Amino acid sequence: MHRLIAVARAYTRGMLTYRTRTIMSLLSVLVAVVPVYFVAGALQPLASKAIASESTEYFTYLIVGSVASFVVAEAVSALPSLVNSYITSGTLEQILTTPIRWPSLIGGLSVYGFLWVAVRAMVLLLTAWVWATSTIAWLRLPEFVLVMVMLAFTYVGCGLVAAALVLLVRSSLFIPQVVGALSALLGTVYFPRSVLPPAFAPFSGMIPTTPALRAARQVLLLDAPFASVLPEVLQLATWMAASLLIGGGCFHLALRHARRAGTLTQY
Amino acid sequence: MTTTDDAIVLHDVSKSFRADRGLVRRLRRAPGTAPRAVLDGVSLAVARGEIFGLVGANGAGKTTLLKILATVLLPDRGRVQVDGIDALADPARVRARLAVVPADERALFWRISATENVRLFASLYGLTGSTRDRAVERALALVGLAQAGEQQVGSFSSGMRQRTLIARALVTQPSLLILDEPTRSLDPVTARELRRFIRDVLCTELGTTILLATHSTEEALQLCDRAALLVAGRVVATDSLARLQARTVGARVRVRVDAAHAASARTLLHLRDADDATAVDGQVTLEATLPDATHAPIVLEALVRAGVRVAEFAPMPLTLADLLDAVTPVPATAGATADA
Repeated sequence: MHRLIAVARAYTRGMLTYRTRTIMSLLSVLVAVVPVYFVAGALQPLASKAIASESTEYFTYLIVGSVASFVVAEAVSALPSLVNSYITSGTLEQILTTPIRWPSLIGGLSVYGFLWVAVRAMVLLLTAWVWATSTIAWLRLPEFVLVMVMLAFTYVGCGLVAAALVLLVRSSLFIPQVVGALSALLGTVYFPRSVLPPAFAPFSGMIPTTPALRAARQVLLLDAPFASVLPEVLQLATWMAASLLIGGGCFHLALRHARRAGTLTQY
Repeated sequence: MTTTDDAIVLHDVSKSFRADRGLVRRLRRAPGTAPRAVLDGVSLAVARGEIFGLVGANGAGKTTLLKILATVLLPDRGRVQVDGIDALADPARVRARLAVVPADERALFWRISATENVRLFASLYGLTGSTRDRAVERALALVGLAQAGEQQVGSFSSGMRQRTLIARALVTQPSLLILDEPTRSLDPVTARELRRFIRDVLCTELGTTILLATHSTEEALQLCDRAALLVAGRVVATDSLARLQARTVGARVRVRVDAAHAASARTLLHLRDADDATAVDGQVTLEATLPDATHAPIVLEALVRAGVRVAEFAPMPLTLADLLDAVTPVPATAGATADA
């Protein structure tokens, strides 16, 4: 564990030196909320019935969906991108000459990204709290966080597969983009399942974001007890276990292949 | 011949790479993807406490060999032992015993300080708390970076980054240190300081076994107890460089004499008429090869006795090209490609 913390500390300290980028990123979150607020307000009469099982207000529905999209984007894209840049700089190979195991390395490198997602998510939720007419069940925040962490781990499995492909062929083969797009379109991030064309609606259930967001919105926006969302949480847990198993296996095998093929460093 | 005192034993290690790794070319099985042999049956042993050089041109396979030892590359064939541990069967134990100083300084975290870089590696090797902090301080002090430790590595000169890489490797006092062209990006003065540091502190004081890859014969002569000469992935000779030079190239000397005595000098130096001669201001400069350095005073005395006015009689540094020409039947550049 202390190796994971050491990598996380070094990486975080490096990232915190990008002060302007950090401030601009936070500002962009705040700026992006403004049109969402007005568009959601305009669509509220049309959407209220379709979203009723998850939220009473379309604005908060979108805010929670946006938090999930931050989580998915970080989980799927950050890892392959980092592995790619560390292959180019030689850092990956250098770190692997030490006694660290790859899960600690990957974990350490991911900590900062998810902490930053948490900060941006809190900014979004606080904005929703200030602007929304409906309430946010702050006491349910731990359950909401648990669901988001499970969602993150689920998509980290996809990120590991993409990173494995980077190790094998220096390309993630658009996996982050495809997974992100599918999740946004079919995963009830911006609109409920009921508005999907009938041909696409069944696929929505196959996207992990769907049960995750249903559970997250119900606990945080409707103050539903955690027991009532257990089926969704269990479904997400199954996704998470399968995804981590497949992703971890792929990355492990890709690392072994890279050690054989000499692709841990390429310029 | 290997003994139990050997820190490193390589036996019949071979490695080849596919020249092209592009996905489309792979799928199409396009021509030009045939494996290229980078190491071919390399066997050698490095004694504990020794500075051992891997000397060869670019693409000779030096870096590949170091990566195999560092367990980040698997050989196609062969046996690799570090401190008696099978590096292929138990790479984790080997990693705990060795440290690598790469040729590429980009492998550092540039946005954090030298102290943080060294501290990270100390933690990766399992050091914690005050033990780690003391080790970091000591390592930075050893390489003369105690004062600059809190500066961002990105603001360092190449020499300072190189020293940070060395401090990072030394922080756990490894029994085996792997150095890949450590003076490549250094100016001559800093390079000389670093070589002195490697010889006096790392080897003599700390007793570290050092495996050093270089294409500089000057560096290998100054530092290495023994060296293996790599040509196109094969070890063509293993010995001390001085002995290797005596055995193969001999001692090269530059002799400047009056033009009037050039013929006598050529005869005494066993040179043909036009060999290596350049005439400037009535003097001729000749380059000759002696069996070894001990012959130099004898030859000089013979020249003086023969009445030759000698303006200069100086040893010439051994070059890698000379050495490779002497030990290989093919030109030195024949096997050279981009370093793998």
